[in-house]
Amino acid sequence: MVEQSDGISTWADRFFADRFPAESVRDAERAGSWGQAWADVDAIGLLQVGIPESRGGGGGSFADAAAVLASAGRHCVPLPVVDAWLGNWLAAEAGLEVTERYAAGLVSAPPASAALGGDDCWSGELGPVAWGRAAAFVVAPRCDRADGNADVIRIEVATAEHRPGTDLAGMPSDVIVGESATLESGRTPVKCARVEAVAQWAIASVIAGAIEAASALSLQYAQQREQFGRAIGSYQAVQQHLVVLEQAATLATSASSRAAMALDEGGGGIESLAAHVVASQAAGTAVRAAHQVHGAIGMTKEYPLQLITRRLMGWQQELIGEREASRRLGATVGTKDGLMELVTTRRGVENDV
Amino acid sequence: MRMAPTRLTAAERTLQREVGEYLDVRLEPGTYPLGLGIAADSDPEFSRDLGEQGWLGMSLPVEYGGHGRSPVERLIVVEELLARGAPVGYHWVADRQSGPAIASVGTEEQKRRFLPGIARGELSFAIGMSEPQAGSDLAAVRTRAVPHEDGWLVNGLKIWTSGAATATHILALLRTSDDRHGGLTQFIIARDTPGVTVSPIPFIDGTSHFCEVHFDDAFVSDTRRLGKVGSGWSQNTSELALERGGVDRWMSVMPLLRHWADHATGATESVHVDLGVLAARAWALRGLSLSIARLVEQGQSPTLEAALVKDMATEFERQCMDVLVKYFGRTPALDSDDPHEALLARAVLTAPSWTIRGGTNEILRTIISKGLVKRG
Repeated sequence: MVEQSDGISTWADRFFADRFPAESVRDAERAGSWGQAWADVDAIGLLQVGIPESRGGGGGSFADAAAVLASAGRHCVPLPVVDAWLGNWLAAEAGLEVTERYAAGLVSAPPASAALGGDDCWSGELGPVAWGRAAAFVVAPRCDRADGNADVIRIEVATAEHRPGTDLAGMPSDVIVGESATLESGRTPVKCARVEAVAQWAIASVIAGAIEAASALSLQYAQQREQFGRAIGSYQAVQQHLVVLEQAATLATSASSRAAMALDEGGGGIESLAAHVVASQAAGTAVRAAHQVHGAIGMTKEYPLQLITRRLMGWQQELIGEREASRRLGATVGTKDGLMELVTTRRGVENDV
Repeated sequence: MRMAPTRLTAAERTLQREVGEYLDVRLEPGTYPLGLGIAADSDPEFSRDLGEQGWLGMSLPVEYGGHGRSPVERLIVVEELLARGAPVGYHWVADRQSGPAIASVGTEEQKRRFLPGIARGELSFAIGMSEPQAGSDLAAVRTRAVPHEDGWLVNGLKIWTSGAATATHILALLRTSDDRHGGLTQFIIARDTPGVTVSPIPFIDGTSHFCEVHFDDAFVSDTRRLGKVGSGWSQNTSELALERGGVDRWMSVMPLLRHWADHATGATESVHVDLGVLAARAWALRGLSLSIARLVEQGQSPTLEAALVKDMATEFERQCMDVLVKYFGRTPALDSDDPHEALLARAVLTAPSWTIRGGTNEILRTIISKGLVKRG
């Protein structure tokens, strides 16, 4: 299984490196030309990895999907990779046909509590949705049922308006505004807790990849940049930052892959939450350390570090945010033997999501 | 760095349960002195009982009294012990590194002489490495072993030797020639050898586990030389390397953390936030320790990964202290009747040592960054 994920990782890395060199990410931000990029990624099937074939996906495990998401993070892919993958996954879970393969899932906004006028009509506001304006559909869970299940709705973006916005990474982040927009309801309800867990793990995965990129770039820079007659990487103070950076990458990557393993086993609720906490914290640490190593040049738009760190800055507080995620985890383990159960993985496989 | 995730097998979970159930009875809360990880009390009887259960010398070969079990299985046992602040002081060094070192490079006679006793928890080893002039710069050791008749005469001084006063043996790194790295050799020295004098060094918390060991024309038979003459440096390095990633690096404070977490139901939001941060970090570090153990089991040598973990782990212990002290809300008393308060006070006093022992973090980070550059 690890070998299969490694293979997918290599495949994704090659594609993303070739298709999205740093200049293309900068161009996308400047010129706003993204549409073809999304089609290219869809065509190669990267956004369907980890979604069951029986439901219209490409097959593979959560571990495989983690490899794709991490790769997208490493290459600062100028697309809503997490949101699109989540959208595909959510649509598949709800029995919605993923025909257009353009589905931006709702990641950071609160679940849709929109007015449904009739069965196939929606009026209200949704978002901000990453790349809402460029999506064909937006899928969202309606987590307002008492039993913890959610109906999933899919809105056809062409039948709605949007209020444009931009996130910290300079990527589109739009509020979808509907007035009798075309809507389709999913056939199967989904468990809200499971949607949350998968979203948390997905964010942790893309963060992990981005931190790896920041670490590699900083290591390379520290060896090349000379001051006072030697490479800055030879100074102990700089070495401390490089180590901290690699530690952050290792923690986040391990957390994401362990959560994926748990999700693949049918559980993963608490592991995803823990991974989200770890990754968010690691993101902040990594941003500081990487910029400290680079000095002034790292603060420019021209140098590629900012492509990575602006994404990390945005992802750090995604979904419920670092503090709330920590609070939930603390509340969960703050009971008799709760901490030992989590840390020493005493729990066997449980279908907790 | 990517370390493949791993899960415990059914057999490993069974072991985890067995050890937990045994310790729940053998170490009933309140009946033993709570310890801080590997700095816990020395209890020879407890060590013997663990030996009897087959939980010491687990990785040592069966033919020498060991159990031929895996690094992951040992990790599980250690986890259960340290989570309870168990008194592991007597057997810790022998079990964790001296036994495996002897099994690795010892003579047949040395293996027969020492390994069974280590596995039974009867022998206690102390590490004779640091000297007044040689701490982080370990290659600067000066304590000399000079050939004499059918052995060696040892002269010099070892310092910071934890547990030497109660140890049966000292595994010492001695200088046998002037070649800085190539002139070091390891020796197994019985503590009661004539010429060996152990003096306690009072520690910041009032204990005296720290010791000075004076060697004054102490004679050591050549049969007690461990490994080749001049191989001491590389033996020493590999002895330490993989152990840096062990769970003992981040579990010193677990008894206190557990005690705090166990009583956090209905606590303030602030408590839950801080507990969540630490819980996530502990979960993450345990995952890395487990991955490292699994890699070692598969015959690999993740020394860089282990060093990375040790640095993070000891920083985590420091973070735990910041949080625990903050929520305790007042100065803990070392002589409190409440064992957890007393332990917290001891932890406050000894916490600065956690990022120093086993390889000071500053030096470790230099080693790590050199390793990162090499890996490219």
